[in-house]
Formats: sequence, C-alpha cells, structure tokens
Amino acid sequence: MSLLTEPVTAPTIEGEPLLAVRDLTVRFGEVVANDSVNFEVRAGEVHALLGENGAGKSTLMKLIYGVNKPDSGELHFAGAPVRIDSPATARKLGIGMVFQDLRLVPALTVAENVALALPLKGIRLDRAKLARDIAEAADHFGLACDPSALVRHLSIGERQRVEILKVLMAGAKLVILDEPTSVLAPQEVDALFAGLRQLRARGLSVVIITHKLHEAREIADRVSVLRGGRMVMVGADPTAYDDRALIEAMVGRTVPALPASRPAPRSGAGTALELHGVSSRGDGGHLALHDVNLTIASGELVGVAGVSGNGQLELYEVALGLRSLEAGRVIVAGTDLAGGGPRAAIEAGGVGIPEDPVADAVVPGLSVAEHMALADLKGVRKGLGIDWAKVRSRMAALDERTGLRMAPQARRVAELSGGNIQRVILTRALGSDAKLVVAAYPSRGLDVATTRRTQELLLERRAAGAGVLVISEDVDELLELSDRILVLHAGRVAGIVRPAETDRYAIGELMLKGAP
Amino acid sequence: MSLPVEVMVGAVRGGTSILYAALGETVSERAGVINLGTEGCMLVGALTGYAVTASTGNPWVGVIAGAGAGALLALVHAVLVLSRGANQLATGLVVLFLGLGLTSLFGAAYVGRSINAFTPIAIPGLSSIPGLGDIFFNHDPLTYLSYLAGPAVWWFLYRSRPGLIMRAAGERQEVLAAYGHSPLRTRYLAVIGGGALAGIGGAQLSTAYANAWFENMTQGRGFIAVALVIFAAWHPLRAVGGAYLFGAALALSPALQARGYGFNQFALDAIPYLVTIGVLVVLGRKRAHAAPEGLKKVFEMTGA
Repeated sequence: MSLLTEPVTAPTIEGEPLLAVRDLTVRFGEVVANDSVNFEVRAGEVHALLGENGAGKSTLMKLIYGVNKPDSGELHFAGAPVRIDSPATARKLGIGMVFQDLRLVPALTVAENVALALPLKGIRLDRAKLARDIAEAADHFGLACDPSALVRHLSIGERQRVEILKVLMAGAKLVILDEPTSVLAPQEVDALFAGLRQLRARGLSVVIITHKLHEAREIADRVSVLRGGRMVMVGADPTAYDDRALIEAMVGRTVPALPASRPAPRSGAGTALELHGVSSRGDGGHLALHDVNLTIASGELVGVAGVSGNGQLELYEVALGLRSLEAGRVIVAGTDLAGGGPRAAIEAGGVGIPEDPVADAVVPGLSVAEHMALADLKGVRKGLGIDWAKVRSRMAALDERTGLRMAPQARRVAELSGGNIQRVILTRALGSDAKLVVAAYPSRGLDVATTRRTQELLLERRAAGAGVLVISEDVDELLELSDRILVLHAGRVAGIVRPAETDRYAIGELMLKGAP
Repeated sequence: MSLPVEVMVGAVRGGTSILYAALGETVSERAGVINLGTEGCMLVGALTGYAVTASTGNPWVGVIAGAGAGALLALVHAVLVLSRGANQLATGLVVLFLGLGLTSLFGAAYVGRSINAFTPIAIPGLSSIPGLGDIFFNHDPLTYLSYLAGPAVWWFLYRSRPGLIMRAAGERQEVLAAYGHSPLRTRYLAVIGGGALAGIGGAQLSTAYANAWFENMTQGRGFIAVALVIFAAWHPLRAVGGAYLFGAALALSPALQARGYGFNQFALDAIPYLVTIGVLVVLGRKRAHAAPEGLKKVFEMTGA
C-alpha cells in the first residue's frame, strides 16, 4: 500500500485547519438540521463533537462524509475549497467515517471486508498480498488484527478496530467516529483511545462524536458542542469546563443530578424476581444463559452489565416469560411462571421495556391510545367493546404521572420517531403499578433530559416497592442507578457487585473475562 | 454391473442436470435472491437446447442457446423482484409456470423428433478402471464439464473479487453500497448467471441424458436443486455432492426394478423425494446460521 510507505505529512501549517466548515446550513423539509454551522478540525488533533440526540451531530458528519448535501455553506479540506457530493469523493479526499453500525459483513473474513472497501481491480483476489497489506497497516497504526478471522467471531471492540483499519487503509487522513464507545466495555474504550492517540501521533485527525463527557475530556484536544442544529461551543479546551457547564451547553439548561443517597431496600419486603438455576437457549440454539441465579427484592434496583450479546436479551425474555427455559425456575413476585409464558408474567405483575421497542413492543398501524388499551384490555372492557373514555383518562393520568410528554393519543405509532415510540412504551411501563419492571437499554435513543426523567422514574418505581432490573451498556449509568450490578459473561453470572464497592474497571474486567 | 456401481453411474448421469441447476441457484442465493423458477429456467433451457440442436445439428450451439434461454427467463425474475419489488417466492412460481407454459406451447412440435445429441465419450485408459471408469469416465461432454463446474463456481465465489462482491450483496447490501458497488447490478448478474446454469442443466437433460423433448421433462429437478442449495448450506461443493445423492436415489428405483424388486412402482418412484425430505429433516435446522443474511429478508424486501 502506497499510503504506508509515504510519511504522513501534516498538510497545513500550525493552526491552519485540515477541515473547515463555513456557515453550513441543511434543511430537511421544515426542520433546520444544521443552522449556519462553523466547525474546524486541525491536522493531528482529536476533536470531540458533543450534543444530544437530534442536535445535528450526525447530520454534520454526514455532510462532511458526502452522505447529506448542504443547502448553503462551504467546506475546505487541506486548505482548498471542496465539494463533497458522495462518500466516494470524501474517501478520495482522505475523509473516512466509522459508523455506529459498523460497515462490516459478519459472514466474511477481516481480509474480505477490507477488500470490499478498497478500490481493487481485476477478477482475482490476491489474498496473500491483502493479508500482507493488512498486517503491515495493522503494525503501522498499532491496530492488531487477524486477517483470516471471520468478523462474526470478533468482539465488538475488535470489529471496531477492523473498521478503523479499513478506513485508514483506504487512505483516510481524517477519521470520523460516530459514538464509538457506546457499546464498549471500559477496557475496550481505553484500547480504542490508545489507538486514537497513535493516529494522532502519526499526524492524522480524528473527530469523535460522543455524549459521554468524561471521555471527551480524556481523549479530546478540543471540543465543540451542537445544540438544536447550532454550534454553541466551538473548539474549546475540554479541561476548562466541568460536567455541569458542558451539559448546560448541550441541553440549554441544567439537568438535575440523581439523588445521591437513597433509602436502602426494606428487608423482608418479599421478592420481585427470583431466578433459580436458569438456563435457556438463544435463537441460534446455543446455550445463551447458563445456570443463572438472581434474587431481586421488592424495592431493589439491580443493573445488568455485559458486552452486548452475552445473554442480556435472553435474561430480559426469561424474566418476563417470553423465552422458554432449558432448566431452572423463574418466580415473579412470588408466582412461579412454570412455563406459563408472558401471560403468567404479566398477571404476576411484571412489565418490560424491550431492547428494540419499535420492533418488539408496538403495532405500527395502531394509535397511541390503542396501545394503551392493548396493555390492559380487561381493565378497560365495556361489554364486548372498549371504554375509550376510560382509556383516555388513564392515559392522561399516566402522562401526568410520568411527565414524559407522550405523543398525542390519536397519532398512529408508525408516524412517530424512535424516541417518541420509546416514550409511549416508557409511559405505559413506568406509569403502571407493576411489581417487577424489566428494562432493556431504557435510555437508548433518548435525549439527556428524557434519559434523566426515565432514570428518575425507574428509581420512583423502586421507591414504590417494585423490583427493577435494568440492562444497560452504559456502566456509568448502572453505577449511578443500581443497588447491585450483575455482570453477565458468556451467559453466566460473572459476578454481582455493589456500586459502592467497585469501579467501572472492575466491572469491565468481569464483562470481558468472566468470573475470576 | 453390480448394484452399487449401477446406482453410482446413475447418480452421475441423473445428477448432472441438477448439479448445474443447484450451482446456479447457489450463486443466485449467495447474492440474496431465491429463484423458485429454477425449474422453469431448466425447462426453457431443455427445449431451446433441443430445438436449436435440431435446427443447427450442433448440440454445443444448442447448449449455449439453452443457457441463454435460462438466463432470459431468470432476467424476468430479476426485473420483477429487483426492479419492481415483487415478492421473490410468488415471482419465482410465476416464472416457473411461465417456463412450463411456454415450453408446452412451443415444444409440441419437437415431441418425438430426433436430434444429433451428445454421445458418451469413453476417456481412454481412465474408463477401463473397474467401477470408477463406468461411474465417472464414460459420459457425455456436458457431464465432464460439470466436474469442473463445481470447483469453478467455488473459486468464483470464494477466491475472486466479483465473487466476494456477490457474497457481500447477499449478506449486507448496504455495506456494499457504502463502498461504491451496486448491489442491484450484482444481484442482476447473479440471478442471470444462475438462470444460465439452470438452462445448461436443462439442455443437458434433453440433449445428453434423455435425447428427447417432452412436456415438463424436468419433473421437479429444479425444485430439488433449490432444496439442495439449502441442504448444502449454500456451499457449491456440497451442492455437487447433494446432486449426486439425488441422482443416486433416482437411479435406485430402475436398478431395483431390473433386479425384480418391483414391489410398488409408486413407492420406488417416491424414493428420491423421500431422500430429499430425509436429508432436509436431518440437516435442516443445524445449518441455519450459514444462510446469507439477505435471504432472511426475502419477505420484507422491496427491491434492492
């Protein structure tokens, strides 16, 4: 590869940006996604771009990568004005993007995935040369990987490394990473950051999109903040601001912290969930849960940490009777589900917030009100029909109680955004008087304020005496919320720890390596 | 000839047409498109191959024409499925019936006509090896060509750049698109190529195996080929093995009858299909993970 033999030269003099965005505006219909945005990235810097969901971060990055087109404004790259009308143009200029849903084909090997991304010609695929080039690039950039490994067999962290390597081998001088840490264990985040520092040392530029403030402060030389499509902070020194100031820049107001001290779970209040020796198979037929034992007391919040795909999904389903058991017993609020399926779990007082509400919890053609009725058809029965007035008054009460600002009742769910669908599901689950709340990634896709409100609601359920199980990728969130944290590794309980007696690295160790 | 040798000779003789069709369907499905009309592609290949051989006197020209006819019918499938967003399974059946109808209509004139068909060529030396000689080295040229077809398709899919692109199209077309390749074009090529191979399979049936044309002469071989692709876990070399297994099952019935085991004609005729069902039952679930990701979206796909 020619790019490996040429030294990477900083193309501009000190202070002159590698990439400059001037007065860029993008509209999607009525919505102004980017409103005369100015932004710049210097050669050899790591630049963090902060902002809430929907603030326009992805829009801006897609503009730079040629996926979106600006309505007005200019882009300069390496000192010259450029028009980037497609990702191919961006790649040719030396701009690479690592998307959150990595652009990898799991069924293919690392080398084959790299080959897809390179502008190769000819019929024959020179596998030996490809493997050599990958090894060389891996060595050069300090991103070790095995060219012949199937991507399917790699961990998320390893896949991300392959993706970054791929982008670099295609000749990128500027690498944009979209929320790269959201699915990584703390140790993997460290490894990623070590890799990014290597790139910086070689004169490459990195833009990292994130909403985790401590990460921005750790890795970034400079930080910019987008809010509502406008840049509210440009190229600032991240160490000069504390969390409060950065959150205020992102959200536009202060977000209250969670209450730091909480009453301990009452003893003798009974149990909300008991898992005894639970084993269960995943969709692929493999044993996804292996002899899991867990008891959640009423009024207790237990977090579940783990690298995605280590049995969290199956744990969620088992707890709510959605997945059959291979062995063991599941007891919800004193009632043994005994193979009674989801109906038994619901009748025992269990509710769930699924990982992917759009796919698993809504019927797109039905309205918001119809969803509410669907959750409790018995409670709103009127003869053979449904008492819609009752449904509406209940919904208004739930909305009031949760403060989640659910979409209007008559709207069809198909018309709602992912975040608004999540609000409907959250309102339904957290407004109820359930004895057990099982939440899988409850804050995914929500803005900062709604995430905080959701966390408060989970704690309110806990305070009201419900047992709460929260599955999350965000170890910091779990440390903040949980009474205890269960770490899953390869379907087994790697450990159950108390937040006060551990830290995110100890949890990361369990996530990556299992029980000591 | 002993029974095992006779059955294995029959396996190669009867399995070759299915082998071509199964390889074609492997390519198509690897790129993410199921063509249930493979049977129809075989039929148009068989008739076209027969008719062109009849008029030119050259079976090679016939086979090439047969491949073209199979490709053309597969193109109908590709247009409907890829450009019009039609349901793959329904469209495949439509393509099958189109092939069946067209060949019944235009084939009537060729029923009972004789042609200058392919003739078996014994490979000197090799064909006199006891057992193996009869099984592998005393066949028509299309059968010899089929020995190369499996490895060739394997090389194409797993060692060539266009093959890699084709597999990626069947797995994650959005990744392919992200790097400037066209999943649509790739899938078109795969479906058309698959149809051409099915057409060759059909032509082998009419110009080398049966040396005759009659209505619906493929008798479900195209569907067997589609089933084989799944049983072979979308791997071309396993598909070759499967084709021969089915060929052997086809040959078993006449071989048993010739030896006086004619207990029930219908039961014997059902053997190949029972074997297929048995194999699918045994292997069905285990290989599920081998399926190209794109195939799992057949029902929700609206074009590419």
